[in-house]
Parts: sequence; structure tokens; C-alpha cells
Amino acid sequence: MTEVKEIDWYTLAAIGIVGGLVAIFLAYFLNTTLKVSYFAFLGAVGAILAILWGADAVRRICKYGIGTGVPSIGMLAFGMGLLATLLGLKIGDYLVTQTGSSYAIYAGPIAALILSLIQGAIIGYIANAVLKMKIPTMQIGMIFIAGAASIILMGFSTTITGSFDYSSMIKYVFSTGFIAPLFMIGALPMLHPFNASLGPDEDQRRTLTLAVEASLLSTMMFGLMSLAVFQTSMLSSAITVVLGLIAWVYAYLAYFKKVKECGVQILATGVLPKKEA
Amino acid sequence: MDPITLIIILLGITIGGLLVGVGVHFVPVGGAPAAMAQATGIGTGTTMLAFSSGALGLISAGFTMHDIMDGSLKSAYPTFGPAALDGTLFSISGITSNIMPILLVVVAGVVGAMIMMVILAVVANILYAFAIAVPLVSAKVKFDPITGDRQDLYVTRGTEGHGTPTVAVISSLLGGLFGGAGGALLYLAFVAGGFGALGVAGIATAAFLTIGIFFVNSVLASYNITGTIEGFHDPKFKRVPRAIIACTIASFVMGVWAIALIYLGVGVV
Repeated sequence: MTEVKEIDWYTLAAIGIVGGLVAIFLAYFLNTTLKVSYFAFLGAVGAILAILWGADAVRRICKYGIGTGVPSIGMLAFGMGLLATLLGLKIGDYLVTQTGSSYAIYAGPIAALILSLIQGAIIGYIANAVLKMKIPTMQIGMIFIAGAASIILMGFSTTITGSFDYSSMIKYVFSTGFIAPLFMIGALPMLHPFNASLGPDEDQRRTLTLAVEASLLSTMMFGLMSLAVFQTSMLSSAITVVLGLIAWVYAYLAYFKKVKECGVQILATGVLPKKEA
Repeated sequence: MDPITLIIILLGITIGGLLVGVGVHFVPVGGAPAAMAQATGIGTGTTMLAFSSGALGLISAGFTMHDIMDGSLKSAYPTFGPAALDGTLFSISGITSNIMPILLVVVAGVVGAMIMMVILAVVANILYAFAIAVPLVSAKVKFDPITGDRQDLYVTRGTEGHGTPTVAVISSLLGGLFGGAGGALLYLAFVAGGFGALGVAGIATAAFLTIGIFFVNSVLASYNITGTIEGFHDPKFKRVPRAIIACTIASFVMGVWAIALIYLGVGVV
């Protein structure tokens, strides 16, 4: 197997932050200026970029063995992210009513991301300094997973509602009960890849391919959920589901190829002889 | 909302999160080895245990709350409903005039969480005893502190105990008590902070913000015990002061976010 250089996690962080925010903003901007909801799928694109960032951070923390199983860290990230995200989006909403400018809404996701990063920094500090976990990647890793969780929440909310403001999140994500699957299958693509591929020959590209594959499955689910919101224009949901499906098939095949590359052939040697010769 | 109410809500969230964190230390978390009957405790991770008991605690607390606000208990506690809707429940006068219904909701949360814990511990024990055929023993103590039964003779060599023995079941009940009380307190704090007035959306938001804080505290507590613990008789239980500091700081920070959200107004346009 050829040695492939790992992608630096700061590069992935940049992709997650910039790509995630730009995709969410673009979805909202195109939807509101063209007065359609067809661009809701761009939210999922942002979420997938953030999932790449989060899944890489998860694998770098959990490589040291945290003792509680990998899923716990995804749940921790979403627990940290949810409150900070809601507050950040509320700040955006508040700025709109205070300044009267509709562009102030774009401050919401940025505030949400910053608050989540702060929250992650505090939890990471607690984990290392108070709980004495002594994991060198814990501090930065916690910051990263909290930020990734925040963008994933906003990205998939945009997929469901076509918008990321506080009111539509409360009206269409919380009130409909979609927050429960958002919490679970939103976190799943972030925590599952490393949980499934951990081991001595774990390889970054394979893990991240699995992350993309899992996040596209989630995207299809959120596309179906958006049917409840886009009742008058079901085409928007159809776009998300169909694009998700096509991309998923591609990602699945790519992951299968990676697995075959990493696999080894097992030769049948037969059972051990009953008596030694 | 006046500052005193906000501070009381902040205190409620901090204490609620702290209770959750302490409660996790009482729950016999066995992890994957326990699922294979090779370690003492309930055979799953802290996250799922905390979520299951927290969710049932929330359901029972929410059900009782609905009963007090609109159901059969409305005539007994007529002031609770209006106070929860207009955000005065956690002001000083609101607490003093509604102390009984608040306690009732907290107790309902405790009952729900304790029921879930005892189901998880005892139903699994039936399977361990009659399907896998292992004795229920703890490997951490020589004699069960509650029943005084000999433990070490029955531990299979190479394992760390099996099933959930009496002391661990009692410990899990205490865990449910702390976790349920903490969860109900968190939920009440969010509802009193204005989410109660939003109807269904408010209930869902309050419940999921509660679950978020629940997850943070339970995962931090499980990092403290490195994933597994048998209960209050386990030597790892001595680490609980570290978790108290950690969970207090974490819940306080989340409480600050929560009161900032409440201060800006939780209503939708």
C-alpha cells in the first residue's frame, strides 16, 4: 500500500468553516433573492464539509482511547453545539430587529460558530485540566468538534427549512420534532466513520470517505423531512433527495474501492490436524 | 425578565447539570465487556444509559407538568400554569408560591429515571442469570456492602464480574435519583425561562436543550470514570470531586448561554 500524506486538520478546519458558512449563506441568499426553496440542498453541502472537519477531529482525539467509546464524543459535540447555535442564531435575529437591516441575519451563523468554538475550548480545557485525561489533541479537538457540530446543525436545518434563521429553526425543526433525528443522524456521520474504521491500519482517506457516504445518507433523510416544510414546492425536497442519492451511490462505490484496497487476502489452510505427525 | 429570575435560572441549570454529572457516578456502567458478561454493570455506555434514563425522566416530568398545567391537578395548583407561561415561575415569589408543584415535577422526573435504571439493571440480570448462566457478582469488593454476600469466589477467572449485583442495583437507583432530579430541574428552568409560552415548539426546544446539557455532563462524568464504574462501592467513585468541579463549570457556561438566549427573548416572529 502506498503511503498517502494525511490532510492536516487545520486545512480541514478551514474547509469546514469557510465552505460550511459559504454554502449555508449561498443557500439562504439564493432562496431569498430568487424567492424559491430549490437551493436548500446547498445547506447539506455545507454540513458535509463540516462533517469532514468533525470526523477528522474525532479520529484524532479518539486515537488515544477515551475509554467511553467513540459515540460519546459525537453526543458531547452536539450537546455543546445545540445551545450555542440557538443563541448565535437568536443574536442574528435580534440584530435584524435592532438594526432593521435584513443582511444582519448573516451574523447569526457566525455568532453561533464563535460561541460553539468558545464552548468547545472551555470543555476541552476542563477535560484536560480538571478531569486529567492527558490527551494532547483534546484541547484543539474539542474546539473543532463543537464548531463542526454547530455548522452541521445549521447546514441540515437549512436543508430542512431552506433558511437558517432562529424563527424557522424553532417553527420547522423543533416544533415538528425533527430536532430528534437532527440530533442523532446529524451526529452519526461525524462519530460513525472512526468508530467503524478504527484500528492499527486506520487510514484518513478511507475514514473520511465513509464520513461523506454516511452524511449523504443523512442528507437523503433530511430531504424527506423537508417535504413537511416545502409542501407547496415539493421539487425542492426532490432535488435534495435525488442529488443525495446520486452522490451517495458514487460515495458508496468510492468507499467500497478504498475498503478493497486496504483488504488482505485470506488463504484457507484447513483445520489443524487432530494428531501431530 | 428581571435579573434575579435570570440568576435563579442560571443556578437551576448549574445545579441540574451538576446533579446529572454526580448521578452518572452512581450508575453501574459496564460498557461493551458487560454486554458480554465479562464485567459488572449494565451492558452499554454512559451516553446511552444517561440518554435513556434522562429521556424517560423528561417524559414523566413533562407529563406531570402537563397534568398540573391543564389536566387533573390544575385545580390543586392553579398558580403554576400561569407562572410557567409568563416566565415568573423562577422568580422568588414564583418559587415560594409554587414550591409544591415544582417539587412534584422534580419527583416525577426522579421516578421516571429510577424506573428506567431499574429496568435496565434487573431485566438484564434475568438474562445474565438464566440465559448466559453467570452469577451476579462484583469484582471490586470482597463482600457486597448491602447483603454481605461473598463476591470474589464467584468471579470467573479473567473477567471483572458479571451482571448487576444488589449493591450495583441500589447504586443505579441512586443514579436515577440524581439524574432524574437534575433533568427535571433543567427542563423546568428552560420552561420557566419563556419556552413554556411557545407551546409545542417550546416544549420540544426545552426538552432538547435539556438533553444537550444532559449529554455534556454525562459524557464529562464518564470521561472522569474512564468509561466504566460499578457504583458507589467502586474505588473509582473517589474521583467524584473532580467531576463536581468539571460539571459545575460546564453547566455554568451553558447556563450563561441559556440566560443570554432567554434575555434576548425566545419568541419567534
